[in-house]
Amino acid sequence: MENSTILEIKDLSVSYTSSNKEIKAVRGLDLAIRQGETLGLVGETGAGKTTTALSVLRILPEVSSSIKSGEIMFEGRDILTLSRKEMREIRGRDIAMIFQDPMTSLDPVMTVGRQIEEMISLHTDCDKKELRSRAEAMLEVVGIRKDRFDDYPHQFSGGMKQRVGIAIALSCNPKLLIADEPTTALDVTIQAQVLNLMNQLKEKYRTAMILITHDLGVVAEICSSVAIMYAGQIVEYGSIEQIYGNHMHPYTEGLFDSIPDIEEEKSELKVIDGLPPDPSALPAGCSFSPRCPYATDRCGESCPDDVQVEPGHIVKCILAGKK
Amino acid sequence: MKKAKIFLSVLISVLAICSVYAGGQSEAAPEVSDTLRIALESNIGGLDPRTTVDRYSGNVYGNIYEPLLTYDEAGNIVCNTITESFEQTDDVTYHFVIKPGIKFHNGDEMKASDVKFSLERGIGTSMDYLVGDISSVDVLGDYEFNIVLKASNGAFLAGLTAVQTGILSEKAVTEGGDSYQLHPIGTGPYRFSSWEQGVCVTLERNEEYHGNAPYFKTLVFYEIPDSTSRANQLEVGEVDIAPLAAIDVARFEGNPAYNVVRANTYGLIYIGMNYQSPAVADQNVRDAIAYAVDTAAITNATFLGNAKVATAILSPNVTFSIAAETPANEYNPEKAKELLAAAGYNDSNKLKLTLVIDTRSDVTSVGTMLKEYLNQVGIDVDIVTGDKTTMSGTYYANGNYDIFVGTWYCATPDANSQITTTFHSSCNGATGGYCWMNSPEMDKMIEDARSSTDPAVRAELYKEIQTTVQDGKWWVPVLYYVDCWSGKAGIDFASVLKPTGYHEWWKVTANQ
Amino acid sequence: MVRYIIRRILFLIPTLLLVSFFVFAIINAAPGDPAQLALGEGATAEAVEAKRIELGLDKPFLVQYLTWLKDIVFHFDFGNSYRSNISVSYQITQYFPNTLKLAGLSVLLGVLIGVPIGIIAAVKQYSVFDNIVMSFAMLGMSVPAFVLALSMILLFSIHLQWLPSSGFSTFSQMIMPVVALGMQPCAICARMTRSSMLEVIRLDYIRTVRAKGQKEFKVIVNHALKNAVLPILTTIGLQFGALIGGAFVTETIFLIPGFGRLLVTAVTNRDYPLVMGGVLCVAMVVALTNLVIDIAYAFVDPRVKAAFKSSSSSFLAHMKMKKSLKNMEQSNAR
Repeated sequence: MENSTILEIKDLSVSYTSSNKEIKAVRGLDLAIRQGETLGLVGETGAGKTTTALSVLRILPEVSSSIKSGEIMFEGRDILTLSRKEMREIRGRDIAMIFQDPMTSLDPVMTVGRQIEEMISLHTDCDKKELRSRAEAMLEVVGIRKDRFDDYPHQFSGGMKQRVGIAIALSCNPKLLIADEPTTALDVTIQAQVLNLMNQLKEKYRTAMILITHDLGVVAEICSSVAIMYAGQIVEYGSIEQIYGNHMHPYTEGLFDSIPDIEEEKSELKVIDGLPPDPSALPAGCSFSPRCPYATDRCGESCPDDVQVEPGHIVKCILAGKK
Repeated sequence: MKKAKIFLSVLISVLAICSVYAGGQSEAAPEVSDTLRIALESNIGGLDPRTTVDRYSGNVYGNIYEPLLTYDEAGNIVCNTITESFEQTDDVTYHFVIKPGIKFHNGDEMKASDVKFSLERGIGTSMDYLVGDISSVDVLGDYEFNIVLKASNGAFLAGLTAVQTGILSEKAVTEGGDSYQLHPIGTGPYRFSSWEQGVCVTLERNEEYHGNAPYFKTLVFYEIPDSTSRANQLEVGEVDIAPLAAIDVARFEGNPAYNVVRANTYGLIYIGMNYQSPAVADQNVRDAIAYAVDTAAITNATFLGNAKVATAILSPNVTFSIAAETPANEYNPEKAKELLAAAGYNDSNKLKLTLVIDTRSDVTSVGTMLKEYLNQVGIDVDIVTGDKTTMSGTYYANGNYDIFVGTWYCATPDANSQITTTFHSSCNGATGGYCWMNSPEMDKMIEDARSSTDPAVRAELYKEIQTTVQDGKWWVPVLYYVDCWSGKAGIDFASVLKPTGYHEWWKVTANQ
Repeated sequence: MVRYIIRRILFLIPTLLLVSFFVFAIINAAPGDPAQLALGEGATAEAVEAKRIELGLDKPFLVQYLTWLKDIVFHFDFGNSYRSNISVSYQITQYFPNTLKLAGLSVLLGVLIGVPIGIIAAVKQYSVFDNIVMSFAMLGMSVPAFVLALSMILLFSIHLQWLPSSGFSTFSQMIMPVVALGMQPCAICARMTRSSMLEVIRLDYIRTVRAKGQKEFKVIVNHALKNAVLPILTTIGLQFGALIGGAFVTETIFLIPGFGRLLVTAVTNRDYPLVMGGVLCVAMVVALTNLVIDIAYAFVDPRVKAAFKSSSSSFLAHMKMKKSLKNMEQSNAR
């Protein structure tokens, strides 16, 4: 049973304009995800993860952003060329998103039940009774009592709001779920619960998922493959065993090194020197080179190409495989 | 597609609705119908003379009520339509006989008791200036009565020609109570029909009128205080007759669709001096002020020629006025400066005066020009102004000013009503004696002129009074108001306009 | 909710008392004798004095006020106008409906035009349309109603003779006054809507709705507008309140027998009963308008409704609502 590729991003470049400066948020990004796969998209704040996600759904803020180039192939069609109507059909029905901050992601003046109903009614032809029962069912699926259908978002805690968000996203059984740091705003115990829930649902509905996060621990829990993002580009991609066991890119190395080891005794955390680059004034060549402990002169001159070090393991570094 | 259809249908409906109203509203000077619409320049305060004596309300209820007496062409006081005869039987008694069979609008017959009721109820109210001297009205029969005064009063009969002394139905007033004036009853040529508060009063022709039936079936009086609106309303044909401000007259003059009529009035604008102010106590000073002012220039400037230069303190049409024999104020700024010097003022010791005016536009114009004229002869002027009510309460009530610009409209055709109120010491203050005159000689003259019933004696006294005031420059009359009326051509209304300000609207006809 | 409404209506009473006392004090302090004004020029001093006694003006200030209050509370009698002796309540019933209609229609026009163009300006921020709308708003707020009124009369009544120049009974009579008076509410509504929408459109939950695949129109109207409407409601309430007593000039120009004219004339004549009755009316309408707006808040925003339901006083309700909103934003617990 071959798992086919459902989403393939090719050479995507997205920029924002702010005070006449161009901020290159995503540069030449390539990414693919197969049916049923859970891809962890890891990177620091400002790496361009959310921008990538919003580009897939084409809900970037219209005024300040623009997709400069690239293709996003979904089920054989480049969704960047679809009409607005066609795109609306895809949103929610085929590709759904869970957002980062549950406190602000739900409409405060609408009941949670109605918000789930809205999603369902946009993509199906159910009558009123069926809408209600389906929405109630979704609430139960995410572990909320269905008698809370008529309650408003402000009557729920953060964790429960996020569950509502999950219920909304999954209510039409999308093929691809993009979860943008779904547990960052929650505390650890709730985080575990929500992740468990997402795992179960993912299994149940066979949904592919892109999980955006900066937390390698979360990635380890539920992802099957990992993409490391830095300054708008994927710098390393591979399966979870490959990345956790055999990471190659200096940045990935830095990330893993900065996780404190509970068994070691250290007085200082190991950090990566320097700061991420300013996306409106990127350095020439490899964008990580100013901070890279292995940087050579060539690194600063030209952007490195993708190097496949093992089947399915790609690294964007000229030193890959040579250390 | 669906959206476009909805939008289109909405657009078409909107346009359709607009076109219905767009086309059919023009009413460019149509022919005169049997309704006469008259614009009044102030609010209609009420229809009960006891509480509302202003000229504008009087113009309305003058069609409903009829007074006992009226003036004939020669200016004599004679019986009105409801009176059979009258005579003065002694110093304080007047014997009246009214006509039998005069019906009120409610069908009741007018009796002497109604006259007694109407006159006596006015004592001690706003009507006091007309009936205040009545001691009692003694009913002698159904149609006969005596009016007995407290003291002899030569001006009394003139008061009985005023519409405010029109006869009311005792029954209607008593039964009507507080809301009587929402359904007033009289004997006049028009009966009350309706009153749209703040808009208009509608009167219907009294078909059972005992006298000559009026021409128009319906009279509507609109209250339009804003002069531009009045002119607009006339121009678009919403009213048939309107009084105009000077600047609007040009629109209608020379237009064949309209007649423009100018009418004399009892009103004037004057410069007044405070009898009690030390600054103007010196006759030289008052003379100087008078010489400094060019009343002819002010008259032309303020009303664009729609006013007359004033001479006497009483308007020319008021009985006993010496306006015709009085010369206009002389403009001689050099002489003014000489007199000021004689009074001890010069460049280093300037005369400073406080001038009270109010915010009415004509008073403000005159006041501003007055200040200029006085400045030119070296007098410093401090103007205080505000709305009339506030000025009245703050200044006129207290007498703390030197000079002022005032207007006066004589309330009756007899000189007494103006002279007493403006110069008798008992009236000093906000009621009208803004000059605060306090002269026993003047008081005596006023009282004698008032109580004498001999016209020759009265004429002599009033001549004396006017001359004293005029020579003393306590009033420097500036201009006499001239009303400008315009009406649709075809309406014959020029003759109904009276200088009293109470126009005889029931006599208006149309020549079709 | 009902308890809240009843409480608010009861709260009206001290408000009206305060307003009436304040106005009574001010108008008594103004120079000018009502008795003398009622009788007119030429009244004798005795008559004026008699009138003063008749009107009760010789009594001390507090006694006058309490007498007036007593008549209202026990007899529902607002007294008679000093000037015309016509009952104040009768005059109010004649003049007030016109002003209500005029103010109501003007604000309605303002909302019907202002809100949609404000929405479009917000959605298409920085576009040509946006600039036009903002310039229009500036114009609408700067040009006084009477200038607009006179210009319209000149053009439509005199020149083109399409519309009547006065009155307020037929539809065609109402067009110009309502447009003249409605320009300012329209401009203010447009600006308020635009700024409120701009704030809301950027928020996260709007993005969530788009991510559901909802049509843009519904995103704006059903979600953004519903959240942005609170300041717009406030504006509407304020505009209406302002027009109730403040349409004097428009009423004068169009010869509409309205409350503005009545009150101004009454004040000029120091007609105390009429002024007091009129002011009381206006105060009541403004207070009721605010109440209606506050209730509308509760219907639009469930957080407000919850605060109203649970609290024991309106002041506490507002404080509690603010506090609970803050708590929710910070809470993370289950």
